[in-house]
Amino acid sequence: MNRKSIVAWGLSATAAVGCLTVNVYFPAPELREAAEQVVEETWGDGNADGEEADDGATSWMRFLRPAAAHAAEVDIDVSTAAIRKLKSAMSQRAGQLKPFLRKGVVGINNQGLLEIRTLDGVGLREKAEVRKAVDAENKDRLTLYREIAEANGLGAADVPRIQKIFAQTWVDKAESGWPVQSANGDWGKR
Amino acid sequence: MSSVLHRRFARWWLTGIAICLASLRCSVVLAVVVGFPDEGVRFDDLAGQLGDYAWTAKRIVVRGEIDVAEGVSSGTVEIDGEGLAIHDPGFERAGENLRVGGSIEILDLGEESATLRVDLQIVSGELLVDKLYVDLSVFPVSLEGRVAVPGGLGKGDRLRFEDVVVRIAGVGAARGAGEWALDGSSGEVLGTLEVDGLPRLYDLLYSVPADQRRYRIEDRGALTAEIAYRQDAAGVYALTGAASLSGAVVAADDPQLRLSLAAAEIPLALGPGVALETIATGRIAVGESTILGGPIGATVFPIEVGPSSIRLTEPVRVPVFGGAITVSSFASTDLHSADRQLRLALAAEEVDLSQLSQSLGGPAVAGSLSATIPEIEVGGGLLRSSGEMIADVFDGRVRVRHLRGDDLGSTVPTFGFDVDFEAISLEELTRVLSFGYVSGVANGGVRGLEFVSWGPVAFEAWLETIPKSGVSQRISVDAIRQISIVGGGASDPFSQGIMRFFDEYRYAKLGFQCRLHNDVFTLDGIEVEDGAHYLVVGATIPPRVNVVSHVREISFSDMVARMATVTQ
Repeated sequence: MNRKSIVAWGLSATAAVGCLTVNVYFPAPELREAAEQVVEETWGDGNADGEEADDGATSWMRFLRPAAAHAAEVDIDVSTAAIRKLKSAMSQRAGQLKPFLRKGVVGINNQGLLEIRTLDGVGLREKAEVRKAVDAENKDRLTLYREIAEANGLGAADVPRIQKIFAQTWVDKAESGWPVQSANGDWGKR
Repeated sequence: MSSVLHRRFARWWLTGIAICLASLRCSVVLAVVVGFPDEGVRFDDLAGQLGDYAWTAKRIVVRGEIDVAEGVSSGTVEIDGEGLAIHDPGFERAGENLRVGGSIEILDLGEESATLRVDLQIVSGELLVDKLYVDLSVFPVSLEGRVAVPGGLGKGDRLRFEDVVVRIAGVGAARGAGEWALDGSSGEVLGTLEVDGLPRLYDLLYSVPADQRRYRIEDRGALTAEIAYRQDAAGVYALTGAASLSGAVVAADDPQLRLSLAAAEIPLALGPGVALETIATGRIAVGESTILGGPIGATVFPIEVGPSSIRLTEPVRVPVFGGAITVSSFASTDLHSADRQLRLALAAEEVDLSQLSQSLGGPAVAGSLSATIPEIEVGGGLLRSSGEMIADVFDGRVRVRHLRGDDLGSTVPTFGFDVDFEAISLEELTRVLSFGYVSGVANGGVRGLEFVSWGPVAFEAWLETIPKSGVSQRISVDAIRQISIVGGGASDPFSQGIMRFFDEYRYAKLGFQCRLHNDVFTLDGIEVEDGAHYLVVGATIPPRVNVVSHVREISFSDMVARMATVTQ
């Protein structure tokens, strides 16, 4: 047995015995729950425990649900100081922006950001206000996605996936009649 | 920012002149037919297109006389317009509900030329330039000067103007000459700017309610400038000239900042179209001001301006807190773009920590601060630095390194740095902090310290005593109680038994390691035994007192509450 064979045999044996398993897991289900919580806290009625409120199931039954058990394994943190401040700023701005969404002036695009759809019928002062508010909101949303990644040990490469999850959540939680953009780029109404 | 606003304003008021011309043309054509009786001729619900701009007018009344001879008209008319509106396709620039009055002298109006002298006042209405909204009833505008459209109205594509003066009530005036394409795409303006109401200009440009502003301009101040502004059809612009500023005082809503700009002579060279060889010198003279709550002496900053850049030509020493800070190598580039960068070097010498700490609202800390920071770089929302600050304090030394910032300009700007403590006298430290009495010498450090909204959000810190000959290691009952509270203890073991006869104890070790992450504060002792974390390990000679932490993790808000208890 020559030296190369010995090395190859040794590597094979090491590989067989000392098998290393690398699990790569992106916590999408937990992030969806976190996104729902954030959207509720900022643009909803502030009650973030939607899971407990949505089906009326008794408390002991919830322990049987896989999703709940799964969520308990990975806890997504959306309450760091930076995230709290962002949520507060977005929550205060929501009251200013919602009337523009109801009028169809502003829509939610498929990147989870706001977009001005039309300025018809809007006074000049309001035009300036909506431009400022949309810019500020989008800036905060992008910062929020980065902060959530950082707070939960996810890398910068995961930020687009977080943004995508939030994009769907913003649309799901939109009020009826708000302009929303589908994944293929078409605009319609929620 | 200022160049963008300037460009937008230039395009706006040139467009304003053009709409006035267009309105007049419509009136004149009809006047030849109907004449102008004394009560004037009234036109209702006019509409038209001027280049990319759509305009409408609810009512325009025209009075005056126009002579028509061989196809060329001349004369003077007075106009009174109400409900005028104009906007570009995207409402980037728009005016609505404009009330315009004044006179227009027709110097030459024919098939091939149109030259007018205008004297108009816009006394109410609204203007929008992107996100800038102006209520013209608060900031009425007047416009006078000679304007012409070579080639005639409807044929010519450029607006030429001479001796034009635009005044904004309470703010100042802009005078200029030049020409501009009627579609707003390109042109050149040479002129002067005279602002004698800086606070009003601030109100105009920063449309946030006064009670929500962090900064204000206190004095009227004066700004004058000679400017040349050019823009080509591709949108490449250059703003050149020189500006002088005097008597401006910028103050924050707390007494920590008050900056007096005594005088400034600043060359202008802003925009991607500025010639690369452009270079000029100037100066910024700062009067006696307040920064971080402390006074700083008058200082002159000599500057050199290049294409969209500015730099200090020599180091500047600023007296502050009994010492001085020297700013050198200051340079900022790409000022016209969002990619602007700033680099500077700082050095501090003999800054009195007692003055500094008290100005910041803390207890008097005897000592001095020095710093050598060869590079601070700011750009792209980030701040990075090299070098270190050294504070000789508490008979030891504190080093601050890796000053950094992230997400600058966002809702949650983050600042951070690392700290090392070397041979700090706990006796001096606890005396200043009113933390009971602890003697001994300690080393320690903080890594990854981050602040959001001036509150710490992350760090890893440690402190441990080091034996030093000639220095005793003793701790008072008060200090033990304080540490006990911070560590989660509640009962008072010193109220009974033999312990009540002692005021202080010897200790062998004192220290901790702690960590803040995601609002969870973790506190570990200097020694661990059977799961108990020792914050203070008592001396072997009785009476012996150990302080043990049993709850390692608590929320940071609870820890802050504990700290508040012991510092009260």
